[in-house]
Amino acid sequence: MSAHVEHVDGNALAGVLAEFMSTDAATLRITCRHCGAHGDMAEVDVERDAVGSIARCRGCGHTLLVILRDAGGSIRLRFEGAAEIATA
Amino acid sequence: MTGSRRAVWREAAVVESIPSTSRSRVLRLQAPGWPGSLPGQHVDVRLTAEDGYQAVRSYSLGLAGDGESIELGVAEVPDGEVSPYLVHDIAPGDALEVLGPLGGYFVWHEDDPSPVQLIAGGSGIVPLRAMARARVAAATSQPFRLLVSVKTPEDAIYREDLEVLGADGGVDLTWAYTRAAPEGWKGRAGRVTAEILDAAVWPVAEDPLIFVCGPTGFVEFVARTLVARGHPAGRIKTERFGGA
Repeated sequence: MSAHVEHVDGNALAGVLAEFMSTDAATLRITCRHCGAHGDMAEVDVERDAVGSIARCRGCGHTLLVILRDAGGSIRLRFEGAAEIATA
Repeated sequence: MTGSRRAVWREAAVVESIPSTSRSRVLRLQAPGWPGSLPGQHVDVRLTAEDGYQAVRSYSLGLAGDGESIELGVAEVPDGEVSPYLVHDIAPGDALEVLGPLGGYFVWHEDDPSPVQLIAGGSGIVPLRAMARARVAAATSQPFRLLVSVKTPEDAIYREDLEVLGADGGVDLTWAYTRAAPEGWKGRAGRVTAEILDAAVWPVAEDPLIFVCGPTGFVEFVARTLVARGHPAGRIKTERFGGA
């Protein structure tokens, strides 16, 4: 842990979040809040239709993420039972 | 080709449409700006109807490499919304949109020295064929084994291509038939069993990198059986589609 704490604003997150979001999504590591299972995003159970996708934990079946695309084309990511998503 | 590239939808035109089986087709597309792909990757395909309705599906690339050409292997899903159109109706000159290449997980890297085991159920052969072709194209020395489970010989996508890879391409090829085997084939038609896997798959001691692609039930059975035999779960990469 660094001893020096900076007080900045969200602009300062642009770098680390750009790094995070440019990672290949299939290789992200995802952790289930309900059962604690963790593994590659590629391994989760997904149901997909025209409206969006629901990602479920293969261990306990709880919903991890809901991804929706609205009519205007914007994409929404809802964190349901995902405790953590990490780069590999 | 890496994850740092921003994902954009690209216009692609169908250049060739080659029937592979009665219910599958190989589509060759030309996509200006396409950055090339790695063996095992896929694309999302978007079709837009005249009324603006859009449908998106994922299809594996049957061939990896550089250039603006994309090869898709598409199997018809009965009652599907998109695949029957791609398998039976789309023709050279028609346009669609592609997003990709996608997926960095189910990918074979030619600098990985491990022996490779490929296991396909039905149309799950498509990304594995890209890996086998890439291994031959790279002229590297990793030993490859490929186990392909299909209903009947007539249902095997890329069948002739795989036979060539098996005969002189350096890929050790094993077929399994779930409904009907060809004349003179030794063995019984039926679902892939633990015994079939024992005979076809590299032993645990060889520490193979294993790729399994197919319907969900098939992939689950194969992965579970291989883990029970002692293969580390982390060495087994899976890609599932449809089915129960």
